[in-house]
Amino acid sequence: MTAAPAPVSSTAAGALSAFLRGVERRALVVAELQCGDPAVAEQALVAVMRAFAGIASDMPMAQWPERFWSLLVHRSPLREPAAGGTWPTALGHLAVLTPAARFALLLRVGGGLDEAAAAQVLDRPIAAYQDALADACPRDAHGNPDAAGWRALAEQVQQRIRDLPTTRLQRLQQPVAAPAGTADAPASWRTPLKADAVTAAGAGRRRPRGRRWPWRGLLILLVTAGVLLGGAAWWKHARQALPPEASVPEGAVAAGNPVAAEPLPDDDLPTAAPGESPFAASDAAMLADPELPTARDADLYAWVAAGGPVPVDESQSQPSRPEPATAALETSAADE
Amino acid sequence: MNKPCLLLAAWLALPFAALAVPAQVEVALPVPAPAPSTGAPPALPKTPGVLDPAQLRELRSRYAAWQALGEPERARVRAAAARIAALPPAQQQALREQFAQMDQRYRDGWLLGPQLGQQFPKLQGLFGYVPAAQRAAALAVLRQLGPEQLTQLSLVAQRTPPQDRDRVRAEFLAVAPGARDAWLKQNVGH
Repeated sequence: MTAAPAPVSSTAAGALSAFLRGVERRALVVAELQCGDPAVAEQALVAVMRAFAGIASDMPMAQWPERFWSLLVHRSPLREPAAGGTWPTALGHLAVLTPAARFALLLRVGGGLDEAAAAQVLDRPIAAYQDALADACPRDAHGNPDAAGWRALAEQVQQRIRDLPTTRLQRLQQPVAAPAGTADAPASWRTPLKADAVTAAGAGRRRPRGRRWPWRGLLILLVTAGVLLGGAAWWKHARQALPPEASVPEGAVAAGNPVAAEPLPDDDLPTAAPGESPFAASDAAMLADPELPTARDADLYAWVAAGGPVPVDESQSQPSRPEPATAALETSAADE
Repeated sequence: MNKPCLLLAAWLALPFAALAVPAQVEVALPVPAPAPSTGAPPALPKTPGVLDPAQLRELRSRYAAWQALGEPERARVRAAAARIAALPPAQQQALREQFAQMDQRYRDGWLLGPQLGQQFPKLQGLFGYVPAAQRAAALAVLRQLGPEQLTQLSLVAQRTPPQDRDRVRAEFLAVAPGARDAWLKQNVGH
């Protein structure tokens, strides 16, 4: 009796399904608050999920979150939303932001990505990402960053994620705007082809009305498992502020699913227009300061001034020298 | 939910980023690469346009940290800069490399000057992550402390369990300057 390949395939499908379940609620809210149009957001997310299902099996699960969000932020309708988007009153601040700043904010407070992950997803240096976050921060009457406003905004977004109706999520599972002649395309981007093939052997004895969905039973099982796993992952995320998928053990998925991935536009996110920087005057003064070179390396010089101590608990790849780095300077330092 | 608060702590007042910068930022702020042959750092441009936004932001943050130093601390930094400049290029280079290889969090502490920088690794428990609203006060108080007080405070920091850090820090910041010695003595004893 030969072992059936079913376990591998269903594991892969289950993991993918669980991942998508864990992320879709957040992704949908991020997408819709990014473009201000629920319908556009749903279409974009379905496209992303399809594309992701096509490539997920080729990469380790640890890379799934980053890749997924990366696909999402590079969707043109989200990156450059059409005019006419609408936002709820409580989230009206989002409407006045540039798309780049809005994405920066939403990935953080809606997607739950930490700064490093969000910067990577947006393919920007972390400092540029922090700039965008700063641009996105609500301001008070004096133009200063408004911490309370930020918190309120974040809570509104979280509330929206929690309150997202299940029907909206169910809509994501329907193939959207499928062309007429797609009968031979995978019936769902959530289930890799292999799972389909595995169950095909037993399809003959299925009831006729199940013919269109020969893997329905398996799908129900997977979706149920996915809901549970996704819920657990989300709960873990909410508690630890980590991407929930970080807990997925690393390892490639074996299902080879030839779903065609959509080519993404290769142009990068628009770099923030320099415009007239509010720092222009102070920057000029700073660059004109003859002490700027000292200021720039003040950490190094302060360290040397303190005798170049080596951190006690430093876990360096190479052993640090036991004597202070600035031993050579001690004679001159002594007279200070 | 205090996540946004920590986030704010990370960027609202960049000059003091070392007090609150999350660990994951470590990868992102490269130390200015030393020039390979001379041992000296690369020259700075005179117009902002030459620097990319990330470099400019980093430079602003460092410059603000420098300006926040007291004059005695600045004098120590200047003297050290002069001593390094007098070294042979290879030695300068070696120093820069040794510093650059250290942990980012450790290096960040030195932006607070020679005195606080030395104590910062031990103070991190209490002052590594400070809510945005407390940061200015925290820095001001830390800069007022003498070496002995800093040593005692670092003992308190090391002995405070994580769940008590916020409370202990707030308590210490609220203590009147004249009562700090008594507070430190009492809390070190625990």
